[in-house]
This record gives sequence, structure tokens and C-alpha cells, in this order.
Amino acid sequence: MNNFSSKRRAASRKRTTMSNNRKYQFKTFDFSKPVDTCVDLIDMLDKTVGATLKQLPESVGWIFDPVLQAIDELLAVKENPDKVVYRHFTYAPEMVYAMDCISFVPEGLTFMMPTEYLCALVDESRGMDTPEHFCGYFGGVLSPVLAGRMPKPKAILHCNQPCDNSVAWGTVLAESFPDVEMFILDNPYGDDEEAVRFIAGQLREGFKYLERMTGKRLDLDRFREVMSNSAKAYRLLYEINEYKKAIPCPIPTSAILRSTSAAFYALTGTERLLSWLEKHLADAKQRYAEGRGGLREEKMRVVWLLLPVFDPLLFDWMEETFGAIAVSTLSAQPFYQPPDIDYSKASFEELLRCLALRNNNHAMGRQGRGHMSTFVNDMVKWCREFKADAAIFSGHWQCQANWASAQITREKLMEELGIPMLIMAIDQLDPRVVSAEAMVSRLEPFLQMVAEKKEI
Amino acid sequence: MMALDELLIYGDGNPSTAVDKWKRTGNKVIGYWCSYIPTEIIHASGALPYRVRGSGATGTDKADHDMSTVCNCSFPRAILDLAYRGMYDFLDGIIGMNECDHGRRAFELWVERLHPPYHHFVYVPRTRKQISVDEYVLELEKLKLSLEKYLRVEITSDSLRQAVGLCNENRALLKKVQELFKKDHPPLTGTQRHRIINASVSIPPKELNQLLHALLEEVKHSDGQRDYKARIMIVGWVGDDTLLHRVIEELDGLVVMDNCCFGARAFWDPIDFDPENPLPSLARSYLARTSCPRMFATFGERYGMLQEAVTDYRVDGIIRTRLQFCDLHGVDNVHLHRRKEQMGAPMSAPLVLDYIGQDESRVRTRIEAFIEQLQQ
Repeated sequence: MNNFSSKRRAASRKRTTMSNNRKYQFKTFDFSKPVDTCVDLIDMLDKTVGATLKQLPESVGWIFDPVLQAIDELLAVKENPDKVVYRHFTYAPEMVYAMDCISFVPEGLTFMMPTEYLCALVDESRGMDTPEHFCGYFGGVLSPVLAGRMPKPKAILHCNQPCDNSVAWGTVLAESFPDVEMFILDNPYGDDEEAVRFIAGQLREGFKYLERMTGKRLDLDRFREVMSNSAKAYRLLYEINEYKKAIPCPIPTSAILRSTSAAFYALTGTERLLSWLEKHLADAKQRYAEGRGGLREEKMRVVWLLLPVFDPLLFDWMEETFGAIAVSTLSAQPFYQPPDIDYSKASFEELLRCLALRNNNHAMGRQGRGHMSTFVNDMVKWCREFKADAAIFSGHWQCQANWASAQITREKLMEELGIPMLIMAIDQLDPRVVSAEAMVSRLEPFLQMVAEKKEI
Repeated sequence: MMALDELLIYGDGNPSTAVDKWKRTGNKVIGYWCSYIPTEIIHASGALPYRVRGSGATGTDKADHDMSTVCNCSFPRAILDLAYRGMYDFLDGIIGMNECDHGRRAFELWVERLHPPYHHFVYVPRTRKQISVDEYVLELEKLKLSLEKYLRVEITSDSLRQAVGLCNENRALLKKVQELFKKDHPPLTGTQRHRIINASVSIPPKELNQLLHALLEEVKHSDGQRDYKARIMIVGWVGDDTLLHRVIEELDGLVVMDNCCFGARAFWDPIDFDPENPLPSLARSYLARTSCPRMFATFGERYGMLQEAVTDYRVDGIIRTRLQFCDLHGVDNVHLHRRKEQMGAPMSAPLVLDYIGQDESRVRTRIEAFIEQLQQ
């Protein structure tokens, strides 16, 4: 028996595990209490999530500003019903901002609402024969939408990416608002110039549709401003990502990935987002200059596919137990490369092309709608660039297109980078399917293996 | 052999016995995944279009290595499993499309793992806007060029016209077979009808036309089905298998109609072909036909078709069903549930099945209870 092996075994025994240390108390949920599913969800979000985040000290609270911005936009929906445009979460928001309308993403509510509410609403939708495999992001708002408990829109912008769930959700919106004509973006399969032209042509029609439905005219200068802000936002994220490639990763906590996800699904084109990104970048630069990462010592780097949403303490557990920092996730990655043009003078056609590229490269939309190689290659690229030690495919169990890409991704990661990928089924939103503790039972041996391989 | 027997044998085999005969003539067989791929283009190339099915699969073990049992539909998994086991090696190529996430990925995995001699992906839009029709035309042009290159043929407007003629005749004859079920005593069972539809996607159209003509003559003086208790319509099923039909009819139901993929939707609408604009007319017709839930916001028209069918076929009860993990039909079920009072016939609760039905006893129990309810 050599000393090397016994050192590793000793390190492994010392490491905190769930079985011998109950230090970690993950979020607890009480599903026994009845929940009023008819509550005003926007108000409820503001009074629960919004109020909690506003109480955080500035040193930490700034991390969650995109979520607060999203809540502010929801409140604006209530105050300005004539400007409300329903928008699918992978339909670029820039179009709505360009028309000076207010974007409302019903499925975005499920991302933010307290878990007990979300589960109660999912259960309510199941009572309407909704299949249990219908994505919880939509399933969590299906019953309030069908029952007329959501604000009625002036217009609906929908699309078919990333998956069948989106197509099915389109029928729900059509049934719920039969007197509101819907505009549907037929997202292409490919990413070539023809695909861009196809999308741009549809977006041209989309603007005419919005003008007709809202009674507003598109202001070209406003469109320029919004696309310029969008381009800046992406460039800032790319710059932040460059810093994130450093070891240790200069982010305060992996939880910031959730805020980035919210930001890039919902807020690109706004100035407030730019302020947040500049702060994020400044923070990353400072940490980088000081050679420090987040709260805990970084010992390994992990790329997550889809983050579980209901308990950010999972990140704390990973960081505390293994020094495992989640450096990237699909929804926090930029894929859109803003064209290098003078946005202040760009023509309508040039801006349409930018918006088409933006739509085609929306996170998750891009990977879901096209060939599996997009997903596979993106994962390999992130893992390479971020110097990942491991990848975690925590597959949202209703995410069918990505699940069918998981095995090939695992093979490519091992073949090209020699890194392992854990595949596990979760429900991103519903802990009743797979709890945080159950995830730990899968994560723990995997991360332990990675740690041993790195001789941590 | 009677035409009915021949059709049933063709429908049960996968590959159908017609494939062997075809290949012995030196012609190619091109597989395709979904009815939104215009088979006329494949016919016009001189190849036999063969719709890939799961029939013959006894499990999905090999496919499950790549597709997940957690959330991926068992029907494309079964098809992929057959491919992985070499059962589709007789195909000279395969054409896929974006019918649904599961089918799309199964096709991609097929190509990635098996490297078929020819493969092509057709992007089919999900709306009927003119810009989407134009895009579909471009896609069909690509398909045409790709087939021409692989098969070293030219697909002319005339060969397309002939193919459309044959396929439209197929559709019209299948519709005549379907209309037999309006009678009090249809000469066929629903199971037989389903097997005939399976045959229709796996044999040359000329031969299919001959057999269907002969079949319609054969059944003219049949006594028909008399010992049934309820006229049933099946809604939502995607597979080619006959478990559901068989169980319903063993329990004295008679399947008179459906809105299914390997069912009435396959032949309901003829193609309105314009020889001056062959591909645009094909594109328009295929997108305009009675829709599958893959097409955006078209529930209303499917619902209309069902309501008409309830009246035309004097449906006593509707069995709502779907494959496990099918979100498209799954959410259609939500809308059907909301409109159940206006449907005109009682509807079952959704019967959710896996494709390779190991749970026949559960199906039997549910259907038996439903038919008993109808009788009360």
C-alpha cells in the first residue's frame, strides 16, 4: 500500500459529507400549508422576494439587482396595462423595449416565486389534465393564465424555441386570449445567413404587428438606443467572462449566475442592466487584481448545465465541502456576438439583422432549437475556456431536447478535455421531485471523485 | 390472396415485404420520419419513401444509452433502437425533420452513430405565414437537390406531378376506406383500418392504389361488424402500433375514427398541386393540411375536425390518449378537457401510454370501464 493512496484516502475521510456532518441545512419547504393560488402573483413577488432582497446590505444585495429590476418591470405591468406585451422568455426583449412597451413573461414568474406557490400552481395545472412532464416554467403559470388571473396583453410575442413545451404553451396563450392576435416567430434550425434573413424578415413583420396592436409607431432612434444598450450588455458580459476564466474565478458567489440568467433573459436593452454589469465587471477586475475568488477557497471548477433554482444553498454546500465553484451555466453565457457597427446611425435593416442574431443566439433557445452539436460544442467550449475540472448536467427532467444530447456531450468532454460529466435528473423548480439533499447524494460521490483526481 | 390480407401483411411487417420486392428491382428505399415531409419528392426521385416506425421493437435498451427514459418519448426511442440493432439497414438513406424534440434528436443520433449512406434534414416551419411557406419552399428545394445528387436523377415538374397524382389517389382511396366507418356495420374493424394505414406508408403508391381499389370491391357486400357496443374515436395517439385498437375491439368497442398521425390525419387532405409552381404548391398544401399539434396555435382546427367527426361517424365515446412525454398532445388534452361539454360525446380521462405496451392490463381496465360508462 503506497503512501500516495493512503494520503488520498485520509483526505477523503476528512472531507465533510452529508452522512457525518449535518452542518448544512438546506432550504426547508412546507407543502402542507394550503396556499392561495388566486393571490396576485406580482404583488406577492414584490412583498416576498423583492422585500427580502431589498433588505440585504449593499455589499451583497447588488448581486441580485437584476431580479429586483425584473420585479420592478412586473410592477410596471400592473400600472401600465395598455403597454403590456406578453413575451416568450427566449424572444429577445429588445423588440418590446424599442416600442416603449412593457414586457411581461408569465413563465418568468415561476423563476422567481416562492417554491410553495410554484408547487401549488403546478398542482393546480395538473388538475386541468396538464401532463406532469410539461415544463414547470410554463406549468407553474398555466392555471392562472387559463383562468384569467393574469393581466390581459395588448400583444403577444411568441416563438417556438427552445422546445415543444414552448409550442404547447403557445396553444395555451391562444386559448386564453382568443381576441388577442399572436405573433409567432418561427425559429430556424440552422444558424447560417439564410436563417438570419428568415428571422429578420419575420421581425420586420413583428414590428408592424406591434404597431398595429399597440397603436404606437416604432421610433428608430429608440430602436438604435436599445440595440446599442444590448450590444454593450453583451460586450460587458464577454469581458466579465474573460476574467472568470482566471483561477481563482473572481466572482463573489456562484449564485450570481442566477442573476446573470435573469438579466440576459429579460433585461438586455435597458440602461439599468448596464449599470449592474459595470459593477459586476468592476468587482471581477478587483478580485482578479487581488488574486481572489469568492467567499471560499477555490479548489475545483465546475460548469453546470442548468442550475437548480429552488435552493442556492447547493452552491454554498459545494463551495464549502469541496471548494467547487460553479463558474458558468448555460443561461448565464453570452452567445450573441453584437455586430461591430455604429448603432447611433444604424439603419432599420442593420438593426433588424442584429436583433435576428440576438434571437437566434438566445441562451437555451440556441441550444434547444437546432442540431445537438450546438449544445455539445457549446458545452465543450465553456469547459475548455473556463478550465473546468468537471461538468454537471443537472437535467431539468422536462428538458427533452437537451437530455437527448447529454450522453454525446459526456463522451465529447471526456474525449476532448478528459473531464467527467455527471448526469442527473432534477426538476429545476420543484424540490418534491428531487430535493437538494437528494441532489447532494449524487453530487457528493462525483465531486469526491473529481477531488481525488485533482489530489485535493 | 385477398387484397385485405395483402394489405394487412404489408402493414404488420417492418420492413414490409414490399421492400424486398422493390429493392430487387434495383431501386432505393429512403426512410423518412414524419408526414410533414412531402413523400412526393422522394417518389419523384424514383426511390420508395418508407416511413420509419417502431413496429418490431421489443425494447429500447440500446437507444436508452443516448436518449433518456426520464423524459424522452418511447416511440422515437423504439425507432432508434431498431436502427441501432441494424433493423433499418435496408434503408439507403434517411430524412429527418423537426416534428418534435424527441423525433428530431432521435434522427440526429441515428446520423451521428450510424453514418447512413445518405441523410438530410428538412426544417419545417410551425406557422403558415407566407414568409414561413417561402422558407419551407427553400427547404424543399434543398431536399430535391440533395436527393438528385445522391440518386443521380433529375426530379422534374412532371415527375412531381405524377407522384402527386399517385399519392392523392392513395389519399382519396384511404378516405373512402375511412368513410366505410360511417356505416352502422363497417366492413372492417378499426384495427384492420390501422394496419392498412401502416401499409400505406411502406409500399409503392401504385401497388397501394391497386390494393385499395380491390379492397373496396371486396368489402362491398360484407355483412360488416355487428357485435360492438360503442363507436369509439381515438384522439392523440402517435404510434403505429395496434395495441389500443385491438384492446378496444376485444372489449366490444369499434374504432371508427381518429385524429392520429398513423391515422386519419395521414390522408385527410389532398395536395393542391400547381405544375407551374411545384414546390411552392407542395409547401403550401403540406402546411395547410389538418394539423398536428406541432403546428402553432392550431388547436381550434383540430377541435373542429373532432366535432365534425363525432357527428359524421356517430361517435359514442372519445378515448383521449397520448404517449408519455408528449407535451404537444399532452397540452391539447388540457384544451379538450376544458371544452369537453361541447364535444358532443363523452371523453375519457387521458390514457397515457408507453409505446412498447407492457401495461396492456392497465389499458384494458381503463377502456373496459369507459365502455361500460358509455353503455350506462
